[in-house]
Amino acid sequence: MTTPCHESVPPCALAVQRVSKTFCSARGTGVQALESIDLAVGSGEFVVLIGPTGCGKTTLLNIIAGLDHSDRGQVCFEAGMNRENALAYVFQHYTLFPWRRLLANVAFGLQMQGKKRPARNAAARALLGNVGLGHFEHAYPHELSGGMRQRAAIAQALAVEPRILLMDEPFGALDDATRKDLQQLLIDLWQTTKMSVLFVTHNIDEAVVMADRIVVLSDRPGRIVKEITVDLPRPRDQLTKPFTSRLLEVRQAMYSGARSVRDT
Amino acid sequence: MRDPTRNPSAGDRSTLLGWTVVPAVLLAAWYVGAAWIDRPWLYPSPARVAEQLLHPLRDHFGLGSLAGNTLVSLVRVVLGFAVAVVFGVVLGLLLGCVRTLRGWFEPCVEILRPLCPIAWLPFAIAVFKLETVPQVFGVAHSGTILDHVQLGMIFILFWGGFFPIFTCTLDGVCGVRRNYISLARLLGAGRLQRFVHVYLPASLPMILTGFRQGIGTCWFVIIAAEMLPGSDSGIGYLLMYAADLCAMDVVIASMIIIGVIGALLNFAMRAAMRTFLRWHGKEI
Repeated sequence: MTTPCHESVPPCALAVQRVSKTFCSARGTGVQALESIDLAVGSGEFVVLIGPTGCGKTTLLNIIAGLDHSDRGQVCFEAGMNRENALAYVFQHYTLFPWRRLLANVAFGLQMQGKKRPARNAAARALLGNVGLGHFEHAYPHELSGGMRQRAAIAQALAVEPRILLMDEPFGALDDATRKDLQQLLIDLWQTTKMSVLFVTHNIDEAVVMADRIVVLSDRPGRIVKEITVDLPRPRDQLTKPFTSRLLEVRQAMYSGARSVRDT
Repeated sequence: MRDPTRNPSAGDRSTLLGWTVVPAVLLAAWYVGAAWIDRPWLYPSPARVAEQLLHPLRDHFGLGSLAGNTLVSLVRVVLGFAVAVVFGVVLGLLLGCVRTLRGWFEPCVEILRPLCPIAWLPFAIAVFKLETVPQVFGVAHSGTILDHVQLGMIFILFWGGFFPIFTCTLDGVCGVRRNYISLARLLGAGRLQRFVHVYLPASLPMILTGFRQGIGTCWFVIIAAEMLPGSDSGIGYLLMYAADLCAMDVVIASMIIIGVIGALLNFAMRAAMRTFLRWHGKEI
């Protein structure tokens, strides 16, 4: 179901059009997870998807990645691109293969493309250096901390040079300090690679720190409640008035999203 | 010199006891018991058994030595186990990956699995007679140890080793986390690549667990099979023959050898797992 973008909007890397999804529960009743989602991610844009737990954020990401099917609607990519060559995905958990050393983990995508060992190892080594893990290429994932694993996972995803990076609460399980470091690392990498990022979180602070644009989803069924453009200069100072006012705006949108469901 | 920083834990101390004091007490009890009963042809003293174990190359009843017969049993087990490995792993991987095949074969597997491998003995003799491995290749008598390796034995050992290996491999493949599959797919791995680079390494710990159980079962089965009709050698055969002649010292020496070899096989498999799977048991 990957077709080229028909919209004549400014160059978009990814467009989700009227995507709906209903899950069948064990009792046989349908649970609607997503309701007619329209979402476009511009080329080089950093979009954060935020919403309460269980609102279908992960489902939407999985549909985009082709790990799940939508009931209606379609996902399309910019001309000449498709799922296979445009995307990379960073999960919250199980982001690395535990039986591979770090270097082999990062080189996995290149190995699948048939790149020769010296070439892919050189590329992987460079990427490990970029994420600050230059000294750990021989380590197994279980020998690393959670933050280091997510660094390696980012390197693994970047190895295939994706146009769009999908991230599902990638820093959700990390402590505050590590999370801040990784946020900065991701922003730096995003700025140098010029890729698009679609980033899922339920952390409002994180959303405002990272995003060009924040898309707020409502409680189940997930619907887009509001889109908030964050045009603050980077690096962003979290103690300034514009930052806190954006924070408030997102929080209000999330509350209204939750309320609108309760009212119906 | 004792390292002051290293405080031997309770585990270390109990292992030490397990290797020294406990066997010594059991041995002493055996010694005293045998002397007290004083019927050495039924209850030989440890000294007489040890005397047999210290002369492993001595011929018994014209059947060969303890060492020679042990070797025959081991060669049989290794060959039978190898056949079980090939079939167990290949079928386990195949059925694990292809749902349709699993549906077709699962009922038959469930009926054959609980069947004791020894129950195949009459069938094995009917099919393979007493044909040996060299005879298959047209050599009537090769003069090597393989002359004692009958196809029927390998067939029975195959059933002993096959199910643990097959079942563990199947469970291993079915238990691979969806996330690893998704991750590989998103990084561009095709069907075959996912099989080689995800299914196989991810299920390797289970496959090796299957090997460990399988070789244990094979060792169990060969001893029993050698005691039954159709056998001409092997440590199990020697044990039974010696029992018929009331040579209990040879019987007990054989028992000790069987136990020690079984433990060594298990030990070797565990060491192999630790070496090959540094990451195992450390799921992230």
